[in-house]
Amino acid sequence: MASTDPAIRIQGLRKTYGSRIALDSLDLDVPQGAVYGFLGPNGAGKTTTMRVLVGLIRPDAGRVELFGETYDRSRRRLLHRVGALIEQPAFLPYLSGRDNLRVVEAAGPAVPAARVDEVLDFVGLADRARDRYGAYSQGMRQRLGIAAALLNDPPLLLLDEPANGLDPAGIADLRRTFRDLAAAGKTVFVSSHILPEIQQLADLVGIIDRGRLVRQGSLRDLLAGSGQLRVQVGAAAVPEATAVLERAVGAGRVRLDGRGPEWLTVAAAPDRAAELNRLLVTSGIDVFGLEAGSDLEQLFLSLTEH
Amino acid sequence: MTLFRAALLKLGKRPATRITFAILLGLVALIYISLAASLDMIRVSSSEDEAAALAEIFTFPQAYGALASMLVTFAMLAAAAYAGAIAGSEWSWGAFRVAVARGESRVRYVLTTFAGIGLLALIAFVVLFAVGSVLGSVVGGIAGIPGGDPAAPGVATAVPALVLSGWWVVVMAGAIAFAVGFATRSAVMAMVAVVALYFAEQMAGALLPADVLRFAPIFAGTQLVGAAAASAFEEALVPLATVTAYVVVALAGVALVADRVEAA
Repeated sequence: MASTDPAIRIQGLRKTYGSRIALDSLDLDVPQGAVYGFLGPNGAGKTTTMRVLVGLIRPDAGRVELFGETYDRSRRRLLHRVGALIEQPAFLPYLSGRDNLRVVEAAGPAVPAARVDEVLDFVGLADRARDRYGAYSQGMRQRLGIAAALLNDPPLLLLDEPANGLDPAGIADLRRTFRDLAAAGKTVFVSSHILPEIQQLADLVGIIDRGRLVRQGSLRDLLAGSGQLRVQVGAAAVPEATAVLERAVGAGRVRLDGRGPEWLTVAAAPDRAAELNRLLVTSGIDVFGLEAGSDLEQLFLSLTEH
Repeated sequence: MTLFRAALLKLGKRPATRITFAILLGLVALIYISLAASLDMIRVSSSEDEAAALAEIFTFPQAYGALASMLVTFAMLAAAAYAGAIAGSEWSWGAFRVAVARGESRVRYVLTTFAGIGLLALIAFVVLFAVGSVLGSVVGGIAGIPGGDPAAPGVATAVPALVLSGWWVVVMAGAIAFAVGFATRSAVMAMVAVVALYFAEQMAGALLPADVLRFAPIFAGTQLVGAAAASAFEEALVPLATVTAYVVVALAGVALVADRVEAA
């Protein structure tokens, strides 16, 4: 394995369920050591992609490489370098957390005996390890799922909506976990609906919609092109404010914001907020509110709203 | 071996394992006790031959054959329900999906799980047989029936043959249920399939010639245990081959489904 090979490379991946196209020539590159946020609306193909990556389902066409080696069902041992939490955590309700991990670790690559307790400790479940899984809260179940993904200390982690069901404290813990994993040099491929989390954690982001990758790149690059300002003026001043702002930022870059008739969205870098505010005020338009900033949510919605 | 140990861990700690065993144990005890308790009444109301036949249930070494036949009937249904439940829960609890995602061989995983069921079935059958033998002896003694000779010549080979053949028939029922349960992802469907098979064979018994019927799974199983009980080992060959064929076909079906299925 060459160290420069991407941890994941997907080329032309296609998967259909009857007439429904789940993945449509999906291409994706995830470099080693990155935290990659995989975003998309419900039904966009995120989970289907994850399922293909771990061999749960077969694609109709396309190619998957893990660490530079072509992966298909006949080369399942490549998955020994992958830890996955796909959809809901799947454990036996009558077994304890520890016994569940002992059952999981028996499948796939061999792991040292002490590893089960190490990962339980890592996800903060050491003191509840003997409790039945069925008695765990949703957050504890999710953490046990992450522990299972970490069992073989894999260089690549695939986590599908890992923040599902976690309370704010759990999400904060998860964020710390991701940071620790990234600091340890692991590649983390994480799908999530919680965009602020991804914005805080991911180095790279891929946005999938209707089975196709619609945008991929570093978070910084993506957000640089998606700067926005929101301006609140009096309802009567909206036409004049639009004209003033369009003169400054260009025609077609100002539109009514969805939140109310007096809010305008301006496609402009956040560092132009003071300049545009000054322009409006000197044009005799009162500004009641001004919000500056780029956010992943706006980018996400602009790319995936139909 | 690690995978097998894990299979035993997940099966051994499953409440259904203890419940299934307890139900079978209770049934065996109940049947012996009720038979012994009603023996006097049966002696009065039935012919001498019938009473003598009933007494054989408590008279060793013949009692071993009666016990094995009774156990197999109940254990087949219990094994079908149990194996079907295990197969169904591989999907509902996602254990199969987790194993696949860890790069485990799908076929090895499901067959190892079934091997665990097979081992537990063997342990359960041996224990039930031993308990049944003791109960038969004790209850028969209390009812005043001569107990015969539990250690009569030939018992040392006949009893293991009975236990193994009975267990193998139970494994067959479990394998069929496991295959149906895994393919349909439903424990209920597994149970329905085995019960339907049982009744279908009962009905077919009235319609089909014995030469055809002997290749039906449950009929072949009954024949196998019967032949073992009579120490007629030559007669056991065809039923043994038939039962083994059903086990192999059922497990081959499981392996095929596991290999091909979309595990999502």
